[in-house]
Amino acid sequence: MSDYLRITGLNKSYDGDVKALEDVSLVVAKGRVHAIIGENGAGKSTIAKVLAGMVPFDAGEISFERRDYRPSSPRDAAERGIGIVHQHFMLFPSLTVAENIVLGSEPGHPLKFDSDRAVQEVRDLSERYGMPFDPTRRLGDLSVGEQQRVEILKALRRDVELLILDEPTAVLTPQEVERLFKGIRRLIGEGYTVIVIAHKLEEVLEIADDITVLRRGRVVATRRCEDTTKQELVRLMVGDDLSPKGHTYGTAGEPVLTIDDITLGTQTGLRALDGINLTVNAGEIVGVAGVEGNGQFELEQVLGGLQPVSSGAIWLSGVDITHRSARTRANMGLAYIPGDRLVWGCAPTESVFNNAISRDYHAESRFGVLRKGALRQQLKEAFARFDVRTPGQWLPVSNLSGGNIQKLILGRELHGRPHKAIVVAMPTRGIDIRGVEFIHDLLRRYRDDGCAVLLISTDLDEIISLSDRIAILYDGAVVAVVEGGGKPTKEELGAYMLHGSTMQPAASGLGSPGAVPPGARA
Amino acid sequence: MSTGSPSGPQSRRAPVRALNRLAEGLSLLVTILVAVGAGVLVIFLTSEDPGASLRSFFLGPFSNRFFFGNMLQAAAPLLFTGLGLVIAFRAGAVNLGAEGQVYIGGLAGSAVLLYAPIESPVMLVVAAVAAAVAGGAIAGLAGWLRTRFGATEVISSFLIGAIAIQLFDYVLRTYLVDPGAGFPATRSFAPEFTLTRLMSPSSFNASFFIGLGAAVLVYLLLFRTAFGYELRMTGANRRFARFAGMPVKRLFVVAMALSGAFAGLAAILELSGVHGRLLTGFSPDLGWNGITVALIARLHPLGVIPAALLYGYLHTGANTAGLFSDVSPRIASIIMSLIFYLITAQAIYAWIRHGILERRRLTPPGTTLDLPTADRGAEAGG
Amino acid sequence: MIGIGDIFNLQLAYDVLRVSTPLVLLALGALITDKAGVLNIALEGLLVFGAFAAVLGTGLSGNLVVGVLSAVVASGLLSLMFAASALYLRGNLFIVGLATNAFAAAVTTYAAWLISGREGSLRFPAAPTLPRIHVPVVEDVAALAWLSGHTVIDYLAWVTTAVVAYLLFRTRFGLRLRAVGEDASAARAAGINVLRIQYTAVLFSGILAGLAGSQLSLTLGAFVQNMSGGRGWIGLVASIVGAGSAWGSAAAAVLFGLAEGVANSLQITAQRLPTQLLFALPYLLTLIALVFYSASRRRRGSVADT
Repeated sequence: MSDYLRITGLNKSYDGDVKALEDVSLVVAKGRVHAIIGENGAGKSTIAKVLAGMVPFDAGEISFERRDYRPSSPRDAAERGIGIVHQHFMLFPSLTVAENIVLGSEPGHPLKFDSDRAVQEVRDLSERYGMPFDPTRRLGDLSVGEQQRVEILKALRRDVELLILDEPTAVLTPQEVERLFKGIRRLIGEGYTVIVIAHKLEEVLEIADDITVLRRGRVVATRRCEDTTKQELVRLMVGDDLSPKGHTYGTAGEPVLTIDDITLGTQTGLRALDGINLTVNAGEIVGVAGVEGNGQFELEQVLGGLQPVSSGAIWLSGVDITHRSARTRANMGLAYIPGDRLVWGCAPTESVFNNAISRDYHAESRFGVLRKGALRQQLKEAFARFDVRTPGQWLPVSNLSGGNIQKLILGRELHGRPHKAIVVAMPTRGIDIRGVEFIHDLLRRYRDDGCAVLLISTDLDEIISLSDRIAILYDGAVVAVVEGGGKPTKEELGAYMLHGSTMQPAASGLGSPGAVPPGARA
Repeated sequence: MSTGSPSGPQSRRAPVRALNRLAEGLSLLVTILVAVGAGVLVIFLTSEDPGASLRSFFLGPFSNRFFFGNMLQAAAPLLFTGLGLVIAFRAGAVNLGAEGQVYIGGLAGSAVLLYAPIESPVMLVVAAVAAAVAGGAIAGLAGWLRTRFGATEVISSFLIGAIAIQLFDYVLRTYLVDPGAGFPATRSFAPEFTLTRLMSPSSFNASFFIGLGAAVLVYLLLFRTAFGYELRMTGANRRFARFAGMPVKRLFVVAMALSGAFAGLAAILELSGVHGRLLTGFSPDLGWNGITVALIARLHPLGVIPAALLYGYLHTGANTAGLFSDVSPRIASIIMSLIFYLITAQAIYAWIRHGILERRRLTPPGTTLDLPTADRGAEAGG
Repeated sequence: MIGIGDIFNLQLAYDVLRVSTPLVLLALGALITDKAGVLNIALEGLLVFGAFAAVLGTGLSGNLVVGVLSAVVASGLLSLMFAASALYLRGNLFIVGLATNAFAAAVTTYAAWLISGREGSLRFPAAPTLPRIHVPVVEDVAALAWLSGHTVIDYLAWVTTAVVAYLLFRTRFGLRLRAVGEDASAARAAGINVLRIQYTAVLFSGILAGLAGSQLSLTLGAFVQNMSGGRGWIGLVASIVGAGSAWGSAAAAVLFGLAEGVANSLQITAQRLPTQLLFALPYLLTLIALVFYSASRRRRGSVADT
């Protein structure tokens, strides 16, 4: 029975470079909920994709029901009995629920789609698994939680026995999470096996029977749920080596960047940003923490001048910049480093040179003619100072590593101009350790020079190790502002991030001077 | 530390660019060879004396001053429409109405020349401005409909162009026609308004050299000015351009208008240089072939010169073959349309680049045309 | 003085029905490819190819059925060439669409010249034209007579509309086709052969364009250069404005056909009006419809302006 699904020595690397999985071995027992947890980039999703037949693996063995398992496609995996529910649903909003579920193996024949039978089938399925909905509704009209249940039913209809849920709670409200967990328990009761990919520890402890912890592509440990604690799991996930090196505080001066009650509505009438108030003073780094999708993207866009606010105001050193353009803001001393490098920060198919001059080309032109010599000189200085390594200025920027692209963007936006404030989002996502250190040191240096730095990041370690103060973003609102530097601890911050309130007991430790710095936890 | 430092990656990656270029050149060559090969095949299958037909097709353009001059002249208007389309495509704007922009430009320019108060070459400049403005206006309109209403310029530019062609025909036949001409054409322009023939008896005239100058100017505009930089970045990544503070909507409309203006210029130079008057159907698909020329040029303004000459060669070769053998001049259109088919095929590039030159997968260069796909334009919205 | 009644009468209804046929067929072809995620700019060329092949086939065989079949096969083959250039050779969809139009124009003109010695047209004097079918009872009722006296392809266009409506929304093929057009990668994940669906859809549009071309050239009894007259584009817009439904697309096609019908009828009744401006009328109406449709879609706010 313990040999239901066995992974032995699994290796997987992308593009021959980055090792996503290294010698991963784990055993999933039949009829249990097995959670695979780890930080962003630990390799959780890669395991899910390998099992679902979406990516091939390089080396190692997988056996499923004591037979060799090496799926060539998602369809192949489903035929062997393994199905996956993606974090980003593979659904069609314009089709009905029933059509979505039966697509690919529809009742009827090529010239006849038996809609009635599909509807009946889906109705039976949904009753059997306790996930009731109207099969004739358009999928696009369903809530996210309902759509997820459609995905689950879709997998179950294909007679899978092992269901992989990739970050299933990331997009759900607490009520929907409860409902999902009920559904999972019901499936286990019917003899199914479930693998949950997750990073929210409370939820994992609530639903899982077994827990495997990944760190940087390797299995750190596998524990039975009853044999472990949250503290141990955090220690396993984060690892001692990742603890931030000596946190330093800045010396806060005058208020520089003031965000005054800004709100941003979306087309659907929801509020992407909901009355945010935040002040960043000269010489301090304010971190904005939160689970992805709680308004980070909208906040950076609004501050950078790429989206107009619905209401509220933004002030830079006492000047109202709410209605100023992106370029004006930059010229006034507000630097903005966008979180999505390849979409907003550069034009990947264009040359390094073209990407590097987008901030200066305007000023460095006479009568509309680019002063290429001057631009090249500035670029040289910026590249030297920001340690940008490039094989050639005329190659497409997509040939550079993520770290070098990010340093190019930093150099472009920061070099050669005085800055009052810097808004920087996800500065080290997908960047190797050395690059991370360089960028962190850089932000500290700017802080020490009296710059007001607003750091928007979903990487809690980054937030903790850099910030003087931390604002927690939840559902488009700042729900708390606390002290940085590891007091409150990561778990305590997590409570805010996950629940948006202080209802958790962890609140007692907030800001108390005696809190243990993260480096000393063990 | 800085760019160009001879570090490890440098030496490993230095040939990358050269290989990309080589693969581009080879895939272009393959495309042209396949298309011309198909043309040769058609001649073989349909001609009574294929040898003689092929000889006059391939060598005809070089056989005397008349054909050689006409070959250069055939390229001249395509320099302009090709340059205009390079500008539009570089900015991510798909202008499919160049044919109509040619006609409306020709109409406006000719009206100026026919009703000119003074018979001085200065009026030729005024006519050129009028032609450019007219062509630019209807192209710019398509661009504006995109940025203002989200109506895709891919279709609207064509429709506006089709309306413009009817309008041209109406005004020509109703108001400008010379009843003595025997077919829908105006009276001849005053001698001051026609360009001198430089290689008689061919129609070769100064418009070819103006076209060469225009290619250099567009090159400088695109690659040496802030405006050209903005245009290219808008086309490469509209969001990045917005992030950098560029007025992307305005740039989109201006790029469309500029490309229409070049179509208008092509018309007035063709009319005053070759025909000496306005006449119905004066454009041998200048707008459509301009697209092919721009693509053969890989959207580079200087590449437009050899690309237009290639067209001129095929066109004149087909004409000589038509005169001296039993082949229709239309053979050139077949060859051009086949080039059109293959010119954007990434599979050919990938096959040469990765299958033949190297077995590793690397990022292709950014100069290949990457137009938006099937979206109807409501999303990007300018 | 021309009265409204001189234009909007039953004769106009008859004409509109007649001139709408190619537009309806093309709109349906565009609809199917669009639902499969392929913007079909090649329709104009497919139409030209069909019109030419119909005249050639009929002329050589003396048989209309052979003519129509030739058109369907020729346009079908050309549509596969279009599909392969985009899907197999990975050419840009717009560009290979335009290339198809250019290729069709060049090849038909060249072939017409080879056969008849004339560049612009092809005509076989002895060849039959599409007969008009007189519907027994209907043609005797004054108010319904406009429904009678059409060609078999005219009636087929309306049958096709019903067939396409059924195909898209009632069959397994249609369901998969819509899924492919909505999200190709999700469709692939569901085990659907995306390429096969797309090839099939394009082939279908080629067949419909072949029928449309037959209707154009076989009622006239000749192939004339430029006889397509932008109908491929107008059909394309009709499918967009038709908001994704077969009957909607057909209705939009009839609307554009109305413009053409009115233009034709004005040309006869009001000879002072310039024909060129009347010819421009369908384009203008099409452009206006496109702009209005796009603007309303944007107002409903599908996507934020990026």
